[in-house]
Amino acid sequence: MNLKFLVVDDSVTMRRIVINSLSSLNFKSYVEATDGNDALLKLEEHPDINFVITDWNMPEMTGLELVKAIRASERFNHLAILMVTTRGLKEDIIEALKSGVNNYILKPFTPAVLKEKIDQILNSKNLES
Amino acid sequence: MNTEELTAMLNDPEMKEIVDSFIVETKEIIDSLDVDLIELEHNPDEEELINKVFRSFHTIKGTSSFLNLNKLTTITHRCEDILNKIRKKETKLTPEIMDYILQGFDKIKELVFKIENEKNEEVETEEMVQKLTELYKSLGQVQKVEEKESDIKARSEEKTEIIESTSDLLKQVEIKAESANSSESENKKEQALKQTELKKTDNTIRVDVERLDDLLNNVSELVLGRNRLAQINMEVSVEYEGTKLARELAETTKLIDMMTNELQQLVMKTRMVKIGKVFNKYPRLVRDLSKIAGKKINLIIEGEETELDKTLIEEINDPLVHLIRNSVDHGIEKEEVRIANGKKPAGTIKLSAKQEGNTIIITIEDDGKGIDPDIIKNKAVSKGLITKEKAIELTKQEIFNLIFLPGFSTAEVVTNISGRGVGMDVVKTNVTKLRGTIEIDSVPKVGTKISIRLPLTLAIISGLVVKVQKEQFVIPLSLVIEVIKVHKNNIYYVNQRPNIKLRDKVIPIVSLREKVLKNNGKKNDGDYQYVVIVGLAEKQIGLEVDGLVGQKEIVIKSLGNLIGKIPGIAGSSILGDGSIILILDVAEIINLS
Repeated sequence: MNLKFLVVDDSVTMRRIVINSLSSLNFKSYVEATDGNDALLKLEEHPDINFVITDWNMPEMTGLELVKAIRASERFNHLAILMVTTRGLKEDIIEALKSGVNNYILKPFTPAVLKEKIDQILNSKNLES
Repeated sequence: MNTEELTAMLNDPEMKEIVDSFIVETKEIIDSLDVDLIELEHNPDEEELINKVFRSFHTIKGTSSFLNLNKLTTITHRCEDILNKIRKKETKLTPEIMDYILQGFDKIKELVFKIENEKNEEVETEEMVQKLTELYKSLGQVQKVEEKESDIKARSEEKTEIIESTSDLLKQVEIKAESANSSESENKKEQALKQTELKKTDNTIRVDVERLDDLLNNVSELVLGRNRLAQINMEVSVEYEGTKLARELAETTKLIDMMTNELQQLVMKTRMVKIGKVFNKYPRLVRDLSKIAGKKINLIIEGEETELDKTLIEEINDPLVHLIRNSVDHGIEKEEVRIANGKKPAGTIKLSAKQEGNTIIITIEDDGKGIDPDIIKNKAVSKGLITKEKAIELTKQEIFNLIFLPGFSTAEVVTNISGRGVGMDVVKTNVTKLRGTIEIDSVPKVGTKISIRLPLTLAIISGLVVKVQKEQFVIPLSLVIEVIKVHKNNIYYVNQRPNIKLRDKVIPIVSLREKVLKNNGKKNDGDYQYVVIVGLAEKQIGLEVDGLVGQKEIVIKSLGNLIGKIPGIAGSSILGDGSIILILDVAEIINLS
């Protein structure tokens, strides 16, 4: 299956880290966005994106708000969403899951853990395209 | 991971991209935290700000954890924990808490410096982490925001655990979410999409400063080539007047001239940096200094958007820090004294920058006790810097200029703050090196204002080319006030020194032949003498020259190490005809006279 990722993080270093991890897993197709608003713009520009990896804590529009916006959109609500976060609190995770993320991953992670998460989402989702 | 392993990992070419990005980004975050933390102390209830500060620490913590920078991760995490309590309004931000956070922040800076320069984390942080942990615990019992980072392994296992335990939850939630999502979501979607339209795409790239330096150097050479071409064009137009060849060369020369000018401007612009980059470090400086000095001081910053060449920005920091220290230490009075004198209890230091033509003016103004000219005068006399007789003749401005003399210091007691053995003479030297000028204005009991004028750029200047004997010299045009032709009978000698009278003002004149050429060559024996009046701050002198050549764009080149420093000469350049020309150091010539 062809996966095209949207990597959303206000930190350029975090985006590099995620993208490097993806590359090491042989996922080479990706688009970057610096916050929630930018992410929505990039989704418009690249309709072939099918997997969103987003940070939680961002200026302007947070990851959580982004997730809600994606799930509220008819065109994008099918997207797979993985939330990258450092929050270990159960309440926060529940909030993220409630808002529609498919799974989450805690910093710092290894490429292997990232792969595991991506696979889990794909298995449960039967992503089309 | 031990130190060697960490260093090896940070130096690993495969990691280079991420490590470089991490360092650049973290330094940017640190720069903005410098400002934000101090502002937060003043406005602890501003939600946007506390969120931004929290996010800053959060980002450093997150990215550093990937690079195995455990010390950095731990200390940012501790600060983040405390900030999180403030953010969630579980505790109030007191000055004491801010002290801890700032101290932690200093450690973070130290660590980042080590990581950048030595690729290790050899900084003592344990005590600070301990202090922050204790502070955190003392702030009331709240659930731990995050897992312990003592064992990263344990963390990843914990993750999987939570995922498993929440997978059921996930299913429940999905059902609920689907039913709740439909109506209000339409609105939100519209809003979100509208917002995206407003968002401008980011069109900046990062360029190595070295490349910009190379570019500027090449453009400088191009300017020299252009000057040479202009010269050839002149010669051709005389020799081949009216021919097609001459016309075409003239047109091409004009075009190249225009494009070179434009290119030069553009390259200059790419090197411009907002002075805020330097100014933003000062709120913290003033905060810490005023605490040590036991004074209340507000710092007002204006014009941080003003742009300056990058080299200048780097060089101007030390002089500014010194002047701010002076204001805090010797300028602003203690609270009791201020109140007794009918002033506001808190002192104010105003730092501002603005552009005026081709110069940048930076001023540091305080409403402190000011400087008494008489005290300066007496001190200079008692230190043997000037004679009693001379002291009487001095204008107010000249008296203040005494402060810049080597060996002059007004501080009665050398304090922890500004007693670093560096005096105002060093400040003056540094500013002069940047071809800038500095002046002091002060009113006793009201305050002191120090103005620094800097050129916009260091590399290219407009100059007036003059002739002395057979030699040509350049006088920076920014310093030239006017050029006059004087009859020899109108040169008066006072104490055997030549002076001229210009509109009721007596101006001393200096012979470049004597000062720079060391009396080589014959004296001009015509009846008239050209005098170029130059001004530096309040001081004006006339330079005797034999002829005026014209105005030129001059690319400054140093004399190089072989020749070294020649008194009165600031540098050299190559003219259009390929000859070498020397650039006069007007400040030094004034001092020599």
